[in-house]
Amino acid sequence: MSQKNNCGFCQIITKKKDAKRIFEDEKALAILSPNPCCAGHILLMPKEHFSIIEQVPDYLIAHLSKLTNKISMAVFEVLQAKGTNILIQNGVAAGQKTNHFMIHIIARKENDSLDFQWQPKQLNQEEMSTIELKLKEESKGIGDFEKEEKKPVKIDKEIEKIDKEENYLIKQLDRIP
Amino acid sequence: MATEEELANMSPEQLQELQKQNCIFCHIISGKVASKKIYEDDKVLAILDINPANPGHILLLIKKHYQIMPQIPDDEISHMFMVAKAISHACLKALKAQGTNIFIANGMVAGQKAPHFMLHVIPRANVDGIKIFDLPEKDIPDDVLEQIRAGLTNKINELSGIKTEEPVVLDKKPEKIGSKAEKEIDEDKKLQKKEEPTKEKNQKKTKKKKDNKRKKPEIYLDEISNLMIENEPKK
Repeated sequence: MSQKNNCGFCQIITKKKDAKRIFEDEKALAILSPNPCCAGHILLMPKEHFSIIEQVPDYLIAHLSKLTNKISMAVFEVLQAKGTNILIQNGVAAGQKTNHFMIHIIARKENDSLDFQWQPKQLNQEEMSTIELKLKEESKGIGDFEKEEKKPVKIDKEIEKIDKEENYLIKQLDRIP
Repeated sequence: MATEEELANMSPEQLQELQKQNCIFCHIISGKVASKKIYEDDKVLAILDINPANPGHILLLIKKHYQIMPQIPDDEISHMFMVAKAISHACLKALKAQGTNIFIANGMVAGQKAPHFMLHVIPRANVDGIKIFDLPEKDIPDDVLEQIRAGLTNKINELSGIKTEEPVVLDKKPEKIGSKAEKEIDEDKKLQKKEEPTKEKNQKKTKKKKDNKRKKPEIYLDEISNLMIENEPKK
């Protein structure tokens, strides 16, 4: 909880802090980045506090990815962008600066001084094969994706109702001589 | 290769077929070109990048040939991201990576090099020397940001089928690539402002509007795709 209380983005989500909100639904919030790298830098985050993508449930990832696509489309049309970059920084080593998991959507134009080109590293065949084997082994279990569970609150109420009805019936049965 | 004249006369379907035939990643997916496959299911294929930013750099490809993200249906996008999450997890475990970057270049300007949509998963370490994913910070005037915010809010709500309370500022809208569908929408909006139509009229209009909305992104997307086709032979 303390992590959540200290998280600037959780404060934005709960409206304790101001931000330029773009889109909001029950699960996610999209804002303009407070530290933009260009005109049209959007942060899309789940409302629940997660630090890295591995903690975010699959169904929420699915929801966020659909929104990412929508926002990207909007960026194309509204900002006349010629391209978009979608970036997730997962872990401090990957450049993550906030404790709240988020997806960056960045509008791109020609000569905008942004550059996401990497220098290819040369690996020999043996190194590539080792990596391939290791990753293949770890990737075997992929495919069973979590689905969203129904909200427990509603189910509880239904059960309570049934209980009362049953009790009533049982009591009636008792009364029959 | 087809001549320019032939290209000009081709239908969009034929063009797409031609692109598929020339797409190296479609050949990788069909198995005609060898690759180091990490994961495969009916929708996506994950392979090792032969020009990796870091050891273990994975390309996650959608099996169907799409050039850019807006062309991809929701279910395939969400499947792709869920697999990306799992692959990111595999990178952390198998390669003892300290982090991962999940990266998409959408359009040539954004650094997309091949006309086949893909997602990069790049394992990271603290001392790997990659700095491109540290986003720079720029000073952008508040009024510009505010304009962007208003424009995007309207558009995203429109795409999600939510009516916005904020007025659409027509004269601030950037000039769009001329098309009939777009003009009709503008006219529709003007009409709606001027008169309060009866329910029946309203329903018809919203229907019309919805149809237009569906057409609209496609028109725009073709422009972007065309850019990529034009640029291709230069490389």
